[in-house]
Amino acid sequence: MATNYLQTIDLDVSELQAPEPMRQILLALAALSPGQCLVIYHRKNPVPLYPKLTELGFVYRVDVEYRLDESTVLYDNQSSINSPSKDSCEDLAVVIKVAFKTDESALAALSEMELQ
Amino acid sequence: MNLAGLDFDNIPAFSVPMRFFLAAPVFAFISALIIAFAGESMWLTRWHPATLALTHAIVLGIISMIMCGAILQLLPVLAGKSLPNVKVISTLTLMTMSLGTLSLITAFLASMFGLNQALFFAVSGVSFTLGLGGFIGAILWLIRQRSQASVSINTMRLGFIAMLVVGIVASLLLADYLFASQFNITKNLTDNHASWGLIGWVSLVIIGVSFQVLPMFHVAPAFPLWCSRFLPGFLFIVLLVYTLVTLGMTQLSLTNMPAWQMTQSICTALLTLGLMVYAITAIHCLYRRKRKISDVSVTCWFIALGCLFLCCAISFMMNIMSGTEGLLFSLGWSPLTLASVFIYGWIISVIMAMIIKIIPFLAYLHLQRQCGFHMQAFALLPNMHELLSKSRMQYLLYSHVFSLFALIITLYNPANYWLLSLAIMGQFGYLLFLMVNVSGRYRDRAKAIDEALLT
Repeated sequence: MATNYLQTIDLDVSELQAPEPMRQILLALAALSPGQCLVIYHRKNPVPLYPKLTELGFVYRVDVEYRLDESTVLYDNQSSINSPSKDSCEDLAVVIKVAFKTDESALAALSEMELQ
Repeated sequence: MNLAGLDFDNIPAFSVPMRFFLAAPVFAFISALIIAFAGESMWLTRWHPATLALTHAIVLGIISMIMCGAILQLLPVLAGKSLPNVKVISTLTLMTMSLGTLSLITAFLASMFGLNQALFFAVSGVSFTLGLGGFIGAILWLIRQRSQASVSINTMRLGFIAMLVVGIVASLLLADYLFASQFNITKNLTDNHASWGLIGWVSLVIIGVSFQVLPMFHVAPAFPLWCSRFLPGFLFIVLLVYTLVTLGMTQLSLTNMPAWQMTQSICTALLTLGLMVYAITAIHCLYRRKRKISDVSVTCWFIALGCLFLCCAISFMMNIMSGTEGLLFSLGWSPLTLASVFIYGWIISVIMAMIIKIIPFLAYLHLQRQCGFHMQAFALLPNMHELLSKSRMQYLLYSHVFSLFALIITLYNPANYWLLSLAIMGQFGYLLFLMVNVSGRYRDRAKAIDEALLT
């Protein structure tokens, strides 16, 4: 397991109007440097973002948590990672961690740590 | 918003929807001129030639024109499908629709000048069948498969079918007119024509788009499933029953049978109730949006939904309580009030709300695509307000509210028609200025990004 730590940069776009989330993410990506990990909080699963990330040479991890209703608590659903969004337009809680390809193992380690 | 169902990759060029948007102010000027030259008499009855010309100029020239532009843009995003040769098809649709609307306006006005109407009616009939009919038919073919994911597309499909029904009823009315009532069709069918147009075509498409747009642009929660899944279908079926009942009544000469009239008023009541439920649900969703920052577009939506609710509530009361109409007339209510407020207060308000969001959004989308995978170019991507400032949106809102106010005082006292005419010219003149301005800023940014890509 890689021991070097990634410096996390939080970016919460969950309350922004379209297309501001995408713009802010692209700006943050342009400013990202190796050794850093961009943690994006989104209310939707931004499918158009992922091919861009791959093309730009980033690696990413997506955690999607489905909300049953606004009033119910979030339930943990690790199996839904990267699975296509189910149905409907309901809000989700999506966390996307992005890092440079060179930091792939560190990103994996970071996610492992969170699971424990 | 289900981003998994959204596809931003085959969007048509910026100029494709814009050509429709830019045509709308031209028809708004024509509408304003009709109001200015027709004077007070057109506000007395819906059968006045100028009133008919004005209604069609607004509904086809402004509303349907903007809707077609927006549909061309939304279709690839919502359904992942786009028309082949979209530039050619959009230009042809725009040309035939403009020709059709102009000749229809001329045909209605012709009787005032003693010209031959038949030719102009025939030209508009052919133009709309080929242009709008062909366009909607092609789109229905594209989205023929029922989509599980997108309630928006399913609702819009019903709206498109309604558009075709509007055309069929219009042809019946036209045939009846041109061939001197050989088909035994009375003016009862005109109500159906208007209902399919305003509730079926325009409102259903708006409702379908709102399921997607309110959560996306205004960070509102999604519509409840019962509303997005079943309400549009309910409205469509009621409209269908309503028309079949009317056709039955007119064809079988049963106009005086109370049971049929009863069925008809039940249908009207259900339609207004359905729309009222939608209005309340949409207001509730908008009210629960995250970050309640003041936003011109949201204000327009509230005005629109308020007008929709008010129109439907009054229509509902008129339907169930016989004394309501008399009471309203004694208060200065005009027979045109309901339809006018429905068109200008509900539909045009939604169009104002959408167009100030859609145009900068489109410009952004094209710029983002132009950046491709060039990281340095991302810094040049504009914020929405850099493309269209908040204060300008605010002025557009004021001018819209003023037009609405001018409309209401014209309905109360038709002598104020000149104010309405000026207000519409002002509002759409300003909208035209804003659209040209955003296009200019878009081109400047596109040039800057091009330069950045070369370095």
